[in-house]
Amino acid sequence: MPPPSPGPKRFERSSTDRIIGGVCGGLGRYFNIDSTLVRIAFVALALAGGAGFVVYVAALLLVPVDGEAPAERSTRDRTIAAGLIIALAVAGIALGSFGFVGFALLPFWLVLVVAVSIWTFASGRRPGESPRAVMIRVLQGFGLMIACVALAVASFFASGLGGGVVVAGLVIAAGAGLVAAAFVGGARWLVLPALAIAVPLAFVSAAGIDLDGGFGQRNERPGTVAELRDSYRIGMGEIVLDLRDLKLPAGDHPLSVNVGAGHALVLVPENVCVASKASVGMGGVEVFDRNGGGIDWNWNDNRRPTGRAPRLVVDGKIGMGLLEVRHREDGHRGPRWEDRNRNSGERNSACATSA
Amino acid sequence: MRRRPVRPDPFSLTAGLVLVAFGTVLLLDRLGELDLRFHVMAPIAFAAVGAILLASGLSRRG
Repeated sequence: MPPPSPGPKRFERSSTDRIIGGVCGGLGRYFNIDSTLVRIAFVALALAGGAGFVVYVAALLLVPVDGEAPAERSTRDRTIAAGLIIALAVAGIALGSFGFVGFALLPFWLVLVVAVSIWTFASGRRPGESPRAVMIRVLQGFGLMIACVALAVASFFASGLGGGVVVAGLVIAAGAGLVAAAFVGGARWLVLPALAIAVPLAFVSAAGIDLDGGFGQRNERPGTVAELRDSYRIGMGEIVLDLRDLKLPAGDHPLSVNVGAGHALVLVPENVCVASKASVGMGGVEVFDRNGGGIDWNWNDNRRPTGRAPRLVVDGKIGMGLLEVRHREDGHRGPRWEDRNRNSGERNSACATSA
Repeated sequence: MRRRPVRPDPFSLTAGLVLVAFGTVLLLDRLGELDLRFHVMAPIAFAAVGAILLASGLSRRG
């Protein structure tokens, strides 16, 4: 008796080779190609025109998992799936083209992948096979992602405002908790909040960001030399220090400028020579026609005044941002980086030459 | 009757130890004992995250 015919080949989602819903794994198996290539093609389609996203959602909702009989999918599920696909298609037509929708949907696509990845990482399991289970995991992963972002922001500000020791202590405590949990099981999710607070702390430490000094916009305009302090600081935001009304006497006048994250603009009279040095975590410095910047970067522009011109000795500490010294306020860079190679056209004319 | 020794979860153990080490480095930096800038801190942070991801991948495979 001849063996029974295997029947037509069916396209089914894979229950073993899957990252989200097993669509790419199923396609790879159906066409007998590497599923990674299918995933790359889906990502390319999603980026190029959004079609990858629509096709993936359609397959997730309509194609059964391997071993699942087609009849197991309820009519209600199919109706919802068809409605969702039609809505996506109508949205595409209404917005002009799938090319536009592709870019419009890109954040959702990324959020979907990141949310599932986060859930998979935290739980150590794969999402369920049904669209409903995948959707629940996406929502849970999204919730975890939001919580981690909130923790990261809180860690950034706490670390910048002097609470770095406490945050580091929390990282160590989370690590110790994980070590202890390794023997009793079930706390791998603790890695995510621990990393969410550790990485911003590392960033703040590396950049030397000090947010003590206030937030927002601040304008300082001392009218007399007596009113000029030797130190100004801003935690996050912009400080404009206008010294153009001052009649500085000959000699050195130290000025310390600390910026946690943001921009400091120092405006000086044209008869003042400016010598400057700065420590920059991430950002730059522009003193008249000289500028530079980068990461872990030190600026040193030691100048001597001509004749009896007063010398302002600026000592900057920039965590993340820009320090500018100029004669005129108009045309200053602000926290814009696209024109960082532009020459301001101003000169440190009261100085002689570099020492 | 002898109790069977508990076999620790390799991912939690590795990630925990990495976090304790990373947290200690950060603590020393904040206390002023170390002064780590980006060129040192970035490799340390990437190594920590990489070790955790590696442990995660290996424990899933094992």
